[in-house]
Amino acid sequence: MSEPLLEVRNLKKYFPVQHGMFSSGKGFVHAVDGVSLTVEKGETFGLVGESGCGKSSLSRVILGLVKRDSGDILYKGQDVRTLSRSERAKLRMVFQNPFASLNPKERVFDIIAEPYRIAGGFSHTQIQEEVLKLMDLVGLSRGYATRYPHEFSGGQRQRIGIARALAMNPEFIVCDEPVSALDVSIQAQILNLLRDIQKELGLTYVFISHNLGVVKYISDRIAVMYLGKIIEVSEAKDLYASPAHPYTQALLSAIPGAVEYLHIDRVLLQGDIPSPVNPPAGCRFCTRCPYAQERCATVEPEMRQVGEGHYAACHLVGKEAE
Amino acid sequence: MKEPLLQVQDIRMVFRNKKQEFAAVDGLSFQVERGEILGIVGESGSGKTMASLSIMGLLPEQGAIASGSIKYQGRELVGLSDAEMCKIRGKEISMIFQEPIMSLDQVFTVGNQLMEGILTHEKMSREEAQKRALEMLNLVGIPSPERVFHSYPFELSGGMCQRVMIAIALSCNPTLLIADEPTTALDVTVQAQIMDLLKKSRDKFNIGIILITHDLDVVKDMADRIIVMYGGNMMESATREQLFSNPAHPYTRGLLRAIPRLDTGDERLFNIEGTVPDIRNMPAGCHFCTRCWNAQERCKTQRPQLVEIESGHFVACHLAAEGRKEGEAV
Repeated sequence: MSEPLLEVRNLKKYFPVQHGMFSSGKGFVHAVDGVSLTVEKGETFGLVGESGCGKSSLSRVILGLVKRDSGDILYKGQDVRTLSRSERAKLRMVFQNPFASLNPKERVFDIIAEPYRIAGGFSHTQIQEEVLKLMDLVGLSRGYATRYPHEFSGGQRQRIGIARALAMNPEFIVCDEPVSALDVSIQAQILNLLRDIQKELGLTYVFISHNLGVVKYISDRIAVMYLGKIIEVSEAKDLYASPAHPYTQALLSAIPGAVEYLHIDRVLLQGDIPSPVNPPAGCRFCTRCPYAQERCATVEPEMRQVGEGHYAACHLVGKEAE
Repeated sequence: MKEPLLQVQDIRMVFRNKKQEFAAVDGLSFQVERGEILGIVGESGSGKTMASLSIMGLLPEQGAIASGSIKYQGRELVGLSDAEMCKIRGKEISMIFQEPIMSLDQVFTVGNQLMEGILTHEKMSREEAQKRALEMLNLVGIPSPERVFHSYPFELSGGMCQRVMIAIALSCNPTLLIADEPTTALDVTVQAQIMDLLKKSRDKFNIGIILITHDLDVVKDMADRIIVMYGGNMMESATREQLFSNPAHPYTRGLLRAIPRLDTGDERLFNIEGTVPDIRNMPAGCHFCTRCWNAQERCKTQRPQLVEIESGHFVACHLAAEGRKEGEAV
């Protein structure tokens, strides 16, 4: 088998939380708590979960925007921390909020040209050529190059953000909820654009979203996160056809229209997600799981194979289950 | 004939400055009966929120209702004084908002905010009001009402805050509830809980609900009747079955194919090109003509009227009114 493009092994990131203004730091938010995953070249790896499950933290840790506490992140077999500057530029990100992720004082041209200027060694005409090429690629009219971000709508700003991420020929792009701030008709435009440029440039995506319809549409494989852990990984089709983990089942059944489309029973979860500061012992989902047993509250379930390329972390599924 | 619970007739809501006025809502008509859920769907800028604020009399300062009528149980709400409107607002018609955490006051306890509405509208002692408040918290499925009663909003999760909002909205036994994007800020599993709660409240109190959302799948699960808005205009109005089995307006049809659903295959999503025009710059004819793939000359100059194409199914499109749908290019 070929080597995966990105491999993450047992990654952990805890954020300290302070209780009160004067007390010293007590407790940690278990944002990413022992996550392992592999991303193959050319695929779109979807990451879904509800707010607070750690999906954004995970993406930031992978790109080195936030320092990890422990675990390995290997890009083409090499630790991402030891990558050279030009190699690091192959790993990029598209952010969630197109209103906050663009510098309001910079013109569109300068925003997209910045990676080239930082890298150095490009003449002004070269940069100009590259930027205009990128603007064509993402469907921005060339006349917009001298405008400022505030003159654009959300969808067009997201195109600027995508053009910036595509500068310097990246290979791997993390898309952190790139369409969640957009209207549905604009969302379709951006999703189509992301798919088209992936085909054209042979990119690999990690696509983060809380919208299960969007993730299904764009992903080849999907991982479901709950309270800092990946609880199920599968080919996109299998995940929706036969969700194994009770949380995945509940998540899918909560989507409006799911009962009709997927022919599954509605599982209405009780309560809220527990605090990631004190996650439950054993299975993280045991406090809300309709099938929870005694051992679920004490023994943490391992990832088990439930089908080809389909893994779930639940005592009640997989080979060893009764 | 019996008066409908709420009848909105051809309202035009405008923003004014010294020289000009721009219509944010134009020509919106609908009615809601008790026990009915009406869904209003539209993207940002479609005027759906301004429509709901018009009913509540909560328009921003520059906004005004230029024409049309809003009748609640036969009583005209347009032009009612603030004092009179206050008696209706919160008592007869109540509203829940998009950002549950933002719409509660952070410096008062949940109990305080719940009792405020009850004491304003009902002749009750504080003890009775507190009892009612706790009942309401229990009713909306809050696990430990006494604890939440004494909590501040920032101590609660988004889903809990929305439950509190619903408790406040229902505390004076209203007959009409307006829910403006009640679950947009919430996760899907919590959204399912809140939608379930709204349906149960409708059944229990036999209230009418106007559910405003951008999510077609939500109204598909919830609404009896659906209005699709675009650029301040009503594009289509139909029962749920009609809208999803036989969408007539190009915008509705495009929207339905632009959303990645669970049953969408690998095919490309439908692209509605362009963006919503600014309200200061709306086309003279059909507001959707700048993005419509079927647009003709007359679409740019003549505003299409709502036409009934089957019983109870109205559409504002020159072509759809003639029963034509061909020429749809993907």
